[in-house]
Amino acid sequence: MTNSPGPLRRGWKAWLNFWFAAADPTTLGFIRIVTGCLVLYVHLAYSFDLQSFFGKDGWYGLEYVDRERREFPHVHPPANWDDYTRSAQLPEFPHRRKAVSKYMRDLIAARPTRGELDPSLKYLDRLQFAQGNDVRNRIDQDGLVYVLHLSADPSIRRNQLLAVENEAFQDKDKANRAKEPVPVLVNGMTAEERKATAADIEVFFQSLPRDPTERSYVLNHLIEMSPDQRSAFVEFLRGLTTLSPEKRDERMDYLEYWNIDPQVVDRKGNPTFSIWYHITDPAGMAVAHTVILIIMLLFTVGAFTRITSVLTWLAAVSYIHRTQQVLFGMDTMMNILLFYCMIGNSGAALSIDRLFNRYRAVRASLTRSGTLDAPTLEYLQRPPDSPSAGFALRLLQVHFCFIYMASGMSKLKGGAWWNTTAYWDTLVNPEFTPIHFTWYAELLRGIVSSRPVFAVISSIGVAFTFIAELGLPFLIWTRLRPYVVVLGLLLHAGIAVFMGLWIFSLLMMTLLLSYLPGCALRERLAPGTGTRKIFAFDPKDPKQLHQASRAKAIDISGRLDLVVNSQPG
Amino acid sequence: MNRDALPPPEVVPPIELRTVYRIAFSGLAACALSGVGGSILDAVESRVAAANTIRLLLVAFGVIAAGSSISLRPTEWKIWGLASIAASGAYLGLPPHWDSARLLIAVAAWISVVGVFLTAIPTAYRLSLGSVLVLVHFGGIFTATTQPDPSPWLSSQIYSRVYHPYLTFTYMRNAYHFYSPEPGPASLLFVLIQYEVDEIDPKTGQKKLIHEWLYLPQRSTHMKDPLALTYYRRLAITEMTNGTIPDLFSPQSFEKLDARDRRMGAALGADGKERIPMAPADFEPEYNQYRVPRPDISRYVLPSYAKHLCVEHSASGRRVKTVKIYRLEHRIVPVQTFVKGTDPYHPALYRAYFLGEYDETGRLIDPEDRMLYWLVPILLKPGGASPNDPKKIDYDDYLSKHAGFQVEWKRP
Repeated sequence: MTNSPGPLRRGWKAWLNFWFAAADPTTLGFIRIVTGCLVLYVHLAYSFDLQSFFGKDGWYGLEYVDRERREFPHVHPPANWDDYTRSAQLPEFPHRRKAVSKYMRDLIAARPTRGELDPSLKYLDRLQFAQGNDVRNRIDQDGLVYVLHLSADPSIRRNQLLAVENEAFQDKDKANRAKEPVPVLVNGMTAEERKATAADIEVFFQSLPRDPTERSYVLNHLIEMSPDQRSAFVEFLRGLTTLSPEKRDERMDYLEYWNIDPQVVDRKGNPTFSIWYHITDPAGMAVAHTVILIIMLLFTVGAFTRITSVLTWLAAVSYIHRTQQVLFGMDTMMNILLFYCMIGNSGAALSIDRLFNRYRAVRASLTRSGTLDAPTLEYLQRPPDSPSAGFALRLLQVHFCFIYMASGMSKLKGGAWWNTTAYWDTLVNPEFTPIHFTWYAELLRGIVSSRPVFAVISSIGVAFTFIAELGLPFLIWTRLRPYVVVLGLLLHAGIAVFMGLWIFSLLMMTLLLSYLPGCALRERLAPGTGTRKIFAFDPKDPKQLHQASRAKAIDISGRLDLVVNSQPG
Repeated sequence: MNRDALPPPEVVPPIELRTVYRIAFSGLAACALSGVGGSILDAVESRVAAANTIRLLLVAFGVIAAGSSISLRPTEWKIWGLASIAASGAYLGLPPHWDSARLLIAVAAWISVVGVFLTAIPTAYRLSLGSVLVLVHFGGIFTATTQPDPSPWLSSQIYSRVYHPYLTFTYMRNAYHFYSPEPGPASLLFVLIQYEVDEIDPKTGQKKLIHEWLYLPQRSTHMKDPLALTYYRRLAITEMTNGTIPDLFSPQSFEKLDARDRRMGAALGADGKERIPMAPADFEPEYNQYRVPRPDISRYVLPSYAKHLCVEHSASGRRVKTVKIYRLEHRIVPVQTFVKGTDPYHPALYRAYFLGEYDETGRLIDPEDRMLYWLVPILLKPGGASPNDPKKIDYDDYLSKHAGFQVEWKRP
């Protein structure tokens, strides 16, 4: 009877083998080269628009992005059945926002303490308490609409408020034009309560802007708010009385800019970084950009890859974080590739680093034994498997499945993907496709002039997209992998040609490369055979040893034989 | 150089540990020096630019040296430890206004601490911890893919409370919902730039004003590289303006009533201006003719764009005074009309929305403009082009009329 491992242990082993098995680093090295070329291209293209995209007065100016990264409000969704915590808010329209903000600032400036402020808000409190939980009657709205129609003339207003004070003047059925309408709130109140309410209305009215338009904007805003929102608004005002004038201004500024009370914000700002937040003068930017391009070039050729891969990712994200307004899907894919090229040892193959290590291996072997021993020959023949390269490739592969799955499943929500017109929309979108070429437009017109032909083509196109996007995440792990990779390549070739998104497509194809075995790539990339050459050297002469090691290190095709030359001189 | 793909030690001799320590300590020394110097400078609130430059260079050298030492011996926990100490020094060494670099260095310090831990523990634990990190990472990717509405409650909670900072920092927030739920029309920006030139207009006795249209993006001018990246970047810029408030038509909106009143005035040619009619409902439903941009667009993006355009297009002898911005939705030609010969670039396929006129500071000049956020229609003439029109123009271009300056409609 044998002791076979249990299912848990087998599962754990399979998991470890899936993620952490060493793999041929050639695939990752090749991905690095292709990614590096594309990254270089992308950033070289930025040279045309460095100031326009990342400068102080770029499309998204520094002042805006600085505030965003430091102050942007994040509010967590409620963890229970409650609604979001209500916050004071201002109207969205600038003229209305200005009026309400001015009202709030003036109100607090004139009544800086709670004792002074409260009388001005007492009428709002009355409306709030009268409202209770009954949101259908909207007593609060009625009470504010009443104020909206109050006269600015004190004597007329006095008469209007008399009806609030005294039931005898009240128009109960709203039909008697000789009598004044009153807010529903006062119905059923005692004479004393009515008098107090009238006084509160007057104080509230006095606190409103004198300008009738501004006053109406403030009242409109109060009317449009739900009772909860208005309550938050009033509490915000009361909260201001507890603050110093500087802090008060700070909180008002935040509300005005972000339209949310900073007190209800769970997290402020975005954890982003960018060199372009800090280097803003054109000369400095040009120097920094040039240095970045050099680093990217070094990464592409695989020089000091462990360092340059990290620096390349940081640099690329620096551009990304600075101006998200210029980004599209391509940047997302570029970031993914660079991120995983940084995690894995992307310089272990097809790189300057590899050449350097080859040199050191040859030199060590020659120093040791005067010849190339078996392990060294094996090392020269192919780079040893790398755990981190294997890990990075797995990360790329799994991430790619997430991308395809999300993309495919999200399309299932769209009617145009079901009735297949989505295919038409992607084929003739004037800003993306080659429809501006007459030949393309005419060819397309000729093809789709037959409705059945159009229906068949668009159905095939949509089905192809779904099979690729929804099928790949599953089929890629089976023996169908080569075919599925070809399917993916075809999809992206189509996107490149018909939608003009060349770099996006090339980056997606680069992601697909992660599924290719390193040996297949090495076979394709291997230089052809040719005549063999001999390099004679004296291992005791350091200079000759160096030359021999260097010659063998760069002998990628393996055509050079090192021969020990023992003859003196 | 790379030490990960390690052959047997006899094949490629590892870099001597002493050398690696030397590099690590040089990095540590540079970071410590910048940290001590920086703390002193910050304490005395020094504003000497050269001192900041030296601090930055020391930090750059120190961090790269520390990183290099890790790359040479990634399995040595002591090297990771030295790097984490170096990063702490670098944090203090950076000038306070380089706050985003400080954030980066703080993250680097934490990664180094994790590195110490990962390299110090036995392999079995290291693999377990690595597995946890993989799950955490892809958990984040998964929650990001589920964020667009309708989003599951659990996913939203985890995304907001746990993952958002990580995914934002690494720029992994994309949900990958490409062309979904369905592909839509692209948005373009047509901007009428008004310049004030250093020349006196004899009619008014004031500086002369000239106008120029800027069309964004345009293949002919914005395709500066063979793969059209510069063009697509601009398309992304214009696409940013296409979000609108979905609940605008709530009955409680006083502004909506005002906006409608103002729009009716524009339709009647109020204030002596050109009459801009509402588009017929079969051309564009009425609910779709007033599209208020999302708050983030109207508050930050549009003012920033306007300010940028004013700066970029001003030159000696001419200063941009105002810009009128229109967002044009370029509708995709329906297949049934395309087969009958409709040009995908026909002006009537554009839906132009007026986004306002801005001054050089990016301020919206008139928030109560009669046409603000309304569709400025470009309508097909009912009977087609006039037989007497040599240009055979079969549409009424109210966009040009509203702007007061003729749009040059042409195919790319």
